Amino acid sequence: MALCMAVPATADQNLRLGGSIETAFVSAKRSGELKSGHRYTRTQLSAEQGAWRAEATWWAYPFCGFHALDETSLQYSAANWSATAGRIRLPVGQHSWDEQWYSPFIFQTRLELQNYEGGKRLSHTSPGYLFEYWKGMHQLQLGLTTSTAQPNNLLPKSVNRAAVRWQTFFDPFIVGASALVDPTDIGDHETMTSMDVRWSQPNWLARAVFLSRRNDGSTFTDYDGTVISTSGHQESLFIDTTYRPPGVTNVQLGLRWDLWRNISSASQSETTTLSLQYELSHGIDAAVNYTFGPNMSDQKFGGGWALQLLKFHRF
Amino acid sequence: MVFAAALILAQSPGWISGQILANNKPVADAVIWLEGPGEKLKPIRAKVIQRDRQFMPHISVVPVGSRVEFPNMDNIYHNVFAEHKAAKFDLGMYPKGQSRSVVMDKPGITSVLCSIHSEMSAYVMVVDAVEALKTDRNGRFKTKNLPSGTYTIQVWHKTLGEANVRRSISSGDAPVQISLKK
Repeated sequence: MALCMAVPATADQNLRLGGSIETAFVSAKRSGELKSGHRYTRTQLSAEQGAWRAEATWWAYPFCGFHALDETSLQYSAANWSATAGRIRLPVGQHSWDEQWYSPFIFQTRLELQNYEGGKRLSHTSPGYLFEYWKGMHQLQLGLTTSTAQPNNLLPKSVNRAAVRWQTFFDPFIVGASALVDPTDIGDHETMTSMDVRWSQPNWLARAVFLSRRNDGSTFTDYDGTVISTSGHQESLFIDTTYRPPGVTNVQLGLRWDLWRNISSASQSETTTLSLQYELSHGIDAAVNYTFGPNMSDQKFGGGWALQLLKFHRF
Repeated sequence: MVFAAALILAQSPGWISGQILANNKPVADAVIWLEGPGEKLKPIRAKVIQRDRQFMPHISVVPVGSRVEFPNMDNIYHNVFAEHKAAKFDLGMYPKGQSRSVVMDKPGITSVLCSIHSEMSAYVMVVDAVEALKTDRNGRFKTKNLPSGTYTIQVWHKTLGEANVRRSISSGDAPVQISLKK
């Protein structure tokens, strides 16, 4: 029934303009308090012609008083490789925007939200360069960036962090391994290693990501004024699954277990989240989550009920 | 869901045009197909491209027996599967630069999904008809030249559902107006 064939890897030569506006409203407990309101708006514009693609994305996150350039870059794609310069997501774990943000789960996993060296999060973009190469079932990504960038820097003044990711698939699994190395004094000798796996079947998707991080030690002030030490050895693991009932295209159910463990201080925090996402109409989704945990010292990572309304418009 | 739609059939020799409305607003991307006299549409080779983590076009209409290809133009793996009245298949997972296809040999609507990216969806309407097309952004449509006779005009829209109307269309007839309620 199925026929496998090759298709031209590059786009047509006509100029193609596009964009999207995504807006979310949420009511949820963060930092121990119930907050409601405008969670984020992400505006994206893109222009593509032949092998070239330019993209600009602005991300406002009023819920936490944060705004910044998101994925904003110039990309050149050939048949089996591409090079990107600008603000990129570091290729560590399952790192693309939709993998992090578009699911029945309202909040991201702890390993994406955690503040790492210099107050940086994997969920945020970094200025730098991304090289991708793929052959057959294999895909290799190399990200080069800096540990001293500001939220609106497009390119790094110097490169002192490198992240590499290898990914392959053997249907129905996608497996990946990633590593981040920051060997300079500026970045406090930070290293991360990560392994991940995805399993998908019609109506089912299951994911697991493990990340281990080591750092020589630094402190910084978080956006809410908390002084955070990033030294030591931490591990994070999450497993989640989503299910779409057969014949029902607009409903998804989800279950996620999320663990964060500080090996150095022998402490840990874990959450379990139940979720339901319902597509009200094309481009409008509602989601409700209930999270068991975390413990008291980690209340900034939520818990209890969370509701979200997401509006997505492409043009 | 209750809705009202109107088909305004302006008929000059050979073709039918009109507009789909719901609550007095034009309905874009509604699928129109006609059954009646004349030769039925032959199978075609159609494409639904996976690009920027979406299926394009979001809604397609093809004659029964057509082969639909799903090329992956993204830098990431995609899967294609469907489970609906007209087709149930799983084309598996494949990377950029590859395409897989399926012959859709039963009339009806098929929702196409990606098991890896839950936000991706598309609809393929398979029809056994003499003419098939989609409305434009103003809800309007215009058929190819058709022989005179009685046609069943069927309409499907993703959220408004399905309706059908029987009309006798002859050369030189005055435009007709049809209201639909569901």
